[in-house]
Amino acid sequence: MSESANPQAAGPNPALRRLFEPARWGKLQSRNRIKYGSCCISNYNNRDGTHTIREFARTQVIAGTGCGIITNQGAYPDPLGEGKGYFRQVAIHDDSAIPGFEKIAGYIHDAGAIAVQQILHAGRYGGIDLGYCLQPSIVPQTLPHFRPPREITKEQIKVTIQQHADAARRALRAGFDATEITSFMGYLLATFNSKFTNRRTDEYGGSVRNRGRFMCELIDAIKQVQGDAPLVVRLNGNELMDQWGGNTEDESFELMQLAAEHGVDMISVTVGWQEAPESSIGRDVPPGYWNRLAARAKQLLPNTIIAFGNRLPDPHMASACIEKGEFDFWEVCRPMLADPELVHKAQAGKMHLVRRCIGSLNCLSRLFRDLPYTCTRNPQLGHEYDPAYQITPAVMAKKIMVIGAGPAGMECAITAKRRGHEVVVFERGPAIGGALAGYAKNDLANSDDLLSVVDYYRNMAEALNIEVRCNTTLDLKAMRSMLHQFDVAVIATGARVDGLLLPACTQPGLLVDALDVAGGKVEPGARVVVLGGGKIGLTLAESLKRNHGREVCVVETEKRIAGDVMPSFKWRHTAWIEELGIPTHTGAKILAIGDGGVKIRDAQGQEQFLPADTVVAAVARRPNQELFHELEWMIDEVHGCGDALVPRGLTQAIHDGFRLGARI
Amino acid sequence: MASALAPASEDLAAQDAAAWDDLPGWRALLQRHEVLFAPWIEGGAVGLVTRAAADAGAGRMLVWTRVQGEMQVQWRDYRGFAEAGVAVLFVAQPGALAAVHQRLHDNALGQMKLQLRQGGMLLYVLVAKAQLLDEGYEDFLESLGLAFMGACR
Repeated sequence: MSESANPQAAGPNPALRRLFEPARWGKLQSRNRIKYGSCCISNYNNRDGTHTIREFARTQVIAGTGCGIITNQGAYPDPLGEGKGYFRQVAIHDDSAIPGFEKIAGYIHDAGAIAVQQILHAGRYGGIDLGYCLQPSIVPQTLPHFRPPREITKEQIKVTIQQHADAARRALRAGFDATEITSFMGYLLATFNSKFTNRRTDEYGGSVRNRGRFMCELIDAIKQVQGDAPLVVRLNGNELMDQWGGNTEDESFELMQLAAEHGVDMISVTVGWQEAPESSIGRDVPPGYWNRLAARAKQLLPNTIIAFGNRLPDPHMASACIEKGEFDFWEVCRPMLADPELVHKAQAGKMHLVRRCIGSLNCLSRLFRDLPYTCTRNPQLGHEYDPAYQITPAVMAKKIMVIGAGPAGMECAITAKRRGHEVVVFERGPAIGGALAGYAKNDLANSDDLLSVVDYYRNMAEALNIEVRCNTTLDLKAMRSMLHQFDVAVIATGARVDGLLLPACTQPGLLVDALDVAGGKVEPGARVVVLGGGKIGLTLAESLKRNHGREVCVVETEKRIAGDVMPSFKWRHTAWIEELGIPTHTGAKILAIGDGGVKIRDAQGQEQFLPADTVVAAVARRPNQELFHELEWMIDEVHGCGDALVPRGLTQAIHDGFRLGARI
Repeated sequence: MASALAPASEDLAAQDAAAWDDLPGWRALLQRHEVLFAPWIEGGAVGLVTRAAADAGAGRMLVWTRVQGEMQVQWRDYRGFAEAGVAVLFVAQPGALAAVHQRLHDNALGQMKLQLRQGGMLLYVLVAKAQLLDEGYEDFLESLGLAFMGACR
């Protein structure tokens, strides 16, 4: 059974007519106006830059996404690895790499798409194995993760351009139809284009035209070896670095003009540098926020093909932009990491069955820890080659009871059902979603994104005809009435605040559970003390302050807040806490709860009394595991998943649920 | 409009100058936050320069140094990144250090963090990440919200 219950069945969606119309690109014909962007390096390859089976398996999935143009992830072009920005980035500096690239071009062509190979010299973010990076001028890093810079010489510039041209020749020999170079987020080309990093006084520095000289020479050299095969250049519409001497937006567009003058065949408009002080693609950036940059590019260069997709996850919005003439191709990547069936589902009018990218940036967080990227929403990403992650028909259909309709339970239920098992979900609360539903409503970044996870599970349960019995508590009595009706029990009952970590509350009603506040079961008073500065406590504290006007403070026993928050969101929480003026007491010991507040001993050893009408317990959680023991002699198989095993977060809940559903 | 702005600009310059010159004030701040600096190695240092000095590659640099188990604040000549002799260099836009200085007695480091996030200050990392970790800068830099592994934005 397919996940979307045959997404093509409903026929083409007329609202997406422009998106799905065929489009001409130079000598090439694309079946639609969707370009799979090379947004991330997978980090799935070997350390020496050669391909792996894992990479090939992943690429086969990308090839099948239904995009008209597919850009294969960036390969570094130099043998030394100065251009290598990621531990397991693939290389294209030698002809021996061609067979691997042939395979990938073949997958893309077999799926009916145009194949583009990106050539990526990471510049300021490169030299990952070398201990230094190459830049036009020595401008030190602003992020410690990256390597100290060396200034590229004129001779090295010539060699680098030749390496790019050679890489392009190899890509075409491997069967690719086009190539792409990228001036995104601090990569080599960007560092030449930007005033922030280009402080040269020779012909490669100074004016926009001089700074753009490297780009123009690159374009010329690549086009010379490519003939009429198209070349794409990715260029920032805004670096978000102008405050620190980077290019202004106007200068960014002058560079686009320059690229167009040199005959580039497509400009892919992007936004932001890795080290920019504001975010460009996270969940806190509203969808469509940057569309104006693409529209400006199209207005400036009406005869150049413009592709765009930064923080534009919605195909309907993309189609409308194309209709309005704001750009020509929707360039999309992360939303298809989350759901490779996105295009097919959109075309079939089944967007409600799409697993939306929620902008958690788990993918990037992993990359900057030198790990292969994974996706919160898509447990199969990066495991396409792995039998344990395949949804194969069950050898024997079983009757499965899933206890708990949070993300872990629902993911397990959906996966098991798709394999042919019979599944019933039992939920103590009134609706699907578990703890996520409550916390999603309090998310300051974009609660709609997190709520879409809940919507997806509800819609999938309906599409797959999974029975969900809400308001049903499973205990021994209930189980006795269902003896021998099920073969398997999956315990996905989540976790609860560990009350043993707190002193006993001496004032009835003062201390409440974070989950009850998040779910709206408890209305906190005017003054709130939140005990626990992890993701749950911070999410509630921020929401209570901003959305409900409460006076809030946070008490954390560790020396820093946000210890359990994903790296991509840590800085956001600390920023919100400061912007909202929420006092935090870190390194504190909680001494007493009651008598109208909380007594703590602060990091300096001073006792303080924090007055409160409500004290929210958001300290470490412990798993709800009671049912494991109770069911042990009542049912053949008992499994656990998600927070009921170890309290962690949404990613682990989804992945646990999937893996269990795939193997029962 | 220009005349209305001029005094404000002069005020800003005066506040900035006062902030840069208040060595005892900065020293008191660093002593209050001893827990962040205690892990620094002997001689560990970070510098602060104005945007103008950074752009020119010359000027005065305010240096926070660990000397014999205490934080010292002193001036040094600044002659560009290569010769800065500090692990991290903070570059301040006009008014940014004054904004931090105004909070000297309550949340100056919080204000510094805000300035970094809003672009009022920029920091350059002049040594490798491993050296920052080995020489004890992690707590201090983390307290300023520095993303050690990349911003993931």
